[in-house]
Amino acid sequence: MKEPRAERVEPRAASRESRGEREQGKQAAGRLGDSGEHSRPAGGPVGLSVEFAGIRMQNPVLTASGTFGYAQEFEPYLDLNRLGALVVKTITRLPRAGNPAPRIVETPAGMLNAIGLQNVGIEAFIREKLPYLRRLTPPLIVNVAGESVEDFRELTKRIGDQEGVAAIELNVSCPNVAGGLDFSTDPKLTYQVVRAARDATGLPIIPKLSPNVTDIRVIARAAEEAGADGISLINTLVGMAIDVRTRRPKIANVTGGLSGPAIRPVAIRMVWQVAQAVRLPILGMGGIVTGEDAAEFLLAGATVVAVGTANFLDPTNALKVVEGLRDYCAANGIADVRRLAGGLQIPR
Amino acid sequence: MHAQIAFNRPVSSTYRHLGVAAPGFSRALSPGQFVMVRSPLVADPLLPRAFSIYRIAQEDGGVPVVEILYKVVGKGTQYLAQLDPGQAVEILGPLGNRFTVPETVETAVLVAGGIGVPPISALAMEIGRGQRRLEVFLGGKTADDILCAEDFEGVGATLHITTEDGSKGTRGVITDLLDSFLLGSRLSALHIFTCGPPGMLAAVSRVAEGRGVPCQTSVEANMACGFGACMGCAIEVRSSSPGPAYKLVCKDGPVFDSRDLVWR
Repeated sequence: MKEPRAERVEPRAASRESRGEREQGKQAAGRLGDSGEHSRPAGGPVGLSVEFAGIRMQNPVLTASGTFGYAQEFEPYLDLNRLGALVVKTITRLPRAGNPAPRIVETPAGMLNAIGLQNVGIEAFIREKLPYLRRLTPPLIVNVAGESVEDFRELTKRIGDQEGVAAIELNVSCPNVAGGLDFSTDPKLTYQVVRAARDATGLPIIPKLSPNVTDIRVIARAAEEAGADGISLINTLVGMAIDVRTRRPKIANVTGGLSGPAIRPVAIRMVWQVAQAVRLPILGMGGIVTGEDAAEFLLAGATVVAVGTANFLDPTNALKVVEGLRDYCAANGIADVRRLAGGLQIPR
Repeated sequence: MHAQIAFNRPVSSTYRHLGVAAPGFSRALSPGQFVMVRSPLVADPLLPRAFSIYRIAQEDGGVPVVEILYKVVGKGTQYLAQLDPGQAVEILGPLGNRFTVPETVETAVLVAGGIGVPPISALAMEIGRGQRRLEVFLGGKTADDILCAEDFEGVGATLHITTEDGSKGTRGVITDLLDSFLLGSRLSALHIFTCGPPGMLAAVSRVAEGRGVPCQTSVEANMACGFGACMGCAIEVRSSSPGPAYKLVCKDGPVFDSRDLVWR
C-alpha cells in the first residue's frame, strides 16, 4: 500500500470567514497518527484540510479541468473560495476554435463530449483569465496540453513563470483532438512529456492519465519515474453513440469522451490500482456527484478528488461534495479526512 | 435552485404545459431567455434540459411560476412528463440573451415552427402592449403542432398558419407563406423574429436575407450546463478569419442575428 504522504498541515491563517475555514480551525488541535478513525464519537468536528503534491488545501475537493471553465463562469452560483483547489480548462499554445457541433450528447448516466480543447490560448489566458484567478484564495492548478514534447516544455515554462499558480496539470490524454494528443497511452511518451515539464519548472507537475489503456499502472510508473509530483486520473473514456433513426453519430467528431456517474466504477478501479503501483499522491475523478462518491475515491487511495460533469448539472455541486464529505466523516466518526486515504478493506 | 411542479398538463397528444413554482426566480420575462430543468437526485437522465420561457406567472403566495411548453420527444421530456404537482425539480435561470426589438421597427414579423412558439408568444405579449403591427406565422406538420394561436389573437396579431398535411391553415411550409407575404408587402421597417426546428430556421433565414429583411433567430443545441462552462452548445458563426469560428448558444445566444450564423 501507498504510505500516507500527508504531513501535518497547519490551519491557514484565519483571515477568511468561510464556514469551512472556521471549522477547520476548530479541529486543528487534533493530533494525527494516533489511534484509528473509529475511536471518535460520530458527529464531532471533521478536519478536511489536506496536502497534495506539496500544496496545502482547505479540503480535498477540486474541480476537474474542462468542467469548470476558468472559474469565473461559476462565480454567480457559489463561493469559489470554499473549494479545495481550482483546476481550470486546458490551455494550448495557440487559441483553438474547437470541434464542430454537435459536441455533446447525453448517454445512460453520463455524457459524451468532443469539445476539441476550445480555448483562448496561453497568452490570452495569462492576460485575461489569470488576473481573476489570482484573486481567488484556493490554490490554482493550470491544465495545459501540447501537440509535442516541446510544446509541453514551453507551456510549462511559461505558466511556471506566472505568479499565483500552485501547480501544473498536464493534459496528456485528451481523446478528442485530431492528430492524436493522447500521449498517455504510451509509457515512453508519457515519460518524455512529464520529464520535459519537470525540467521546465519548479512547480508541482501532475499528469492527467487516460483510462484508455491496457494497464494504467505502467503509465503511472512512467510518470513517477519522470518526476511527476502527483497523478490525476481518470480522463474520459473514449465512447460513441449512434442515432438509429438517422444512422449518424450523435456527435460530429464521431467518437467522444464519456464522463459522469457511468464511469465511476472504472475510475475507482484505476485509482485503486495506481495507488498500489506508485508512491505518488492521486487526484481521483470520474463521476463524482456526492460526498460519498468522493469518500469512495479516497478509500480507493486518492488523496484529493475532483468534481467534473456534476458541475454542469448543478453549478453548486462541488460545494455540495465538500459538505457531503464532511457529513459522511461526521456520521462515521472520522475526525480527519486523511484517515480515509487508502482505507479500503478487502475481506479475506 | 430548488423548485416545485405547480402544474404539468397535456395541451395536446404530444405537447405539455409545465409550471414550476420557483421562489426567488426573476419576475421579469425577457422573451428568448431559457431555463435548465432537471429532477434532483436522478442520474439517468443525467443532464438538465433547456427550455425557452413561455411566461412567468405568480402563484397566490407571490411565488413566481415559470411556465414552459414542451414536446415529449426523448428520455428527458418523458421523465418530465410523468412528474406530478408538488414534486421537486431544480431550475436554473433565466439564462441567455433575448430578442431585441429595434426602435425603428414598425412591423414585427413573428415566425414559429412547432415547439419554437413559446419565446415567440412571449415576444408577442411584450410587443402587443405597444403600437407596432404584428404579423405572426405559425407552421407545423399537423394541426396538433399549431400552439398558442389564441395568445396571438389576444394581442391583435394577424395570423398566418400552415400545416404540411393541410389539417389547419394553408397546406405547405411556413416559409412559402412568409416569402409571398414579404414579396407582396407594402409595409416598411419590417423585422423578423423566429424560433423553431433547425431546417425551418435555415429556410426563414434564407427568405429574410433574400428579401433584405433583418432577422433574429433563436436556436437550440445540445447543452449540458446552460451557463457557458461545458462549451458543448457551440454554433458555427461567419468569420473572416481562416478556419471555423464558434459561439456558444447558451451565453452568446440563444438569439442571434441570422446573418451571423453559418446555415447548412
